[in-house]
Amino acid sequence: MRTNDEWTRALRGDGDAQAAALHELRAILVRAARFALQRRLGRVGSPGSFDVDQLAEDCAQNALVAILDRLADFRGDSRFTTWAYKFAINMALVASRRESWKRVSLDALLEQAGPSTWRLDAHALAGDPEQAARRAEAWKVIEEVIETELSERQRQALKAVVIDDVPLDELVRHWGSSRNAVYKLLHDARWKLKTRLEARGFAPREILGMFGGAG
Amino acid sequence: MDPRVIDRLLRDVSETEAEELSCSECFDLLSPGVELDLAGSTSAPMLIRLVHHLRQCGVCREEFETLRDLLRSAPEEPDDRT
Repeated sequence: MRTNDEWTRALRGDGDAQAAALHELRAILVRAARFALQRRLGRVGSPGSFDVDQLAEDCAQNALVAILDRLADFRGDSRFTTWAYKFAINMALVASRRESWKRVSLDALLEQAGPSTWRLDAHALAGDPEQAARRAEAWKVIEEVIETELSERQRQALKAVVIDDVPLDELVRHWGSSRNAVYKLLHDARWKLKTRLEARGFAPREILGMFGGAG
Repeated sequence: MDPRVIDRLLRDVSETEAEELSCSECFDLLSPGVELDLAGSTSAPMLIRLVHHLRQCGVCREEFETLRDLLRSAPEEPDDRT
């Protein structure tokens, strides 16, 4: 069992000690990538026809490159192996999501975002007339903000993630963007909705309760 | 509209904060965060901020949960920090 210092020293070194550490690390990364792929397969079913072992090997290799590139970022605030695992897991899950969504046209999905996307069904407005009127009023604010205050891309991202369950990574890939940028796009949309609702006298928690959410 | 979609949107909006961790910041905190979580240190301020991001970000959440499950599944090993 290597200590964190032993790991980083060996990986920064050369010769047989470095080769042994690389060999050991690669085996650890293959194991983590395989675990991530199998865990996801167990949850979402078969995402395609890929070979788990081969994909795990590829992800481990890419993770190894990323780890060596970012070795200076390791601050020692966790075990080195835990820090290393996350690279393999990230790469395996990104690849697995790609497999799951590669037959879906995001262009078509994103084009479907229109004024009726967020319209409530009649059953959401059923029940006590006073409560129903309050729900309708609150939801009207939400629809107005989405339609008039969000950018086209924010509307698309919100629909894709909230309604269609598209993984953020797939929007990132489709738009040639980054996780940070797409997350910020969604954050700014959520924040605008929250502040506009509050300005119109609706506490979002209260609205959640109105629609039956546990809060 | 599916009631689950309404619930998800309202929950996400109600829990939105002016300042949230980015996905890169979340990735940086992932390994100490999972170790804290497994140690039961759920009130650590860093973990609270991390969990908030995880509630809003499905891909980061899946990475956190996978790392946590991997560590849980691993045989008991001594702490290899210096």
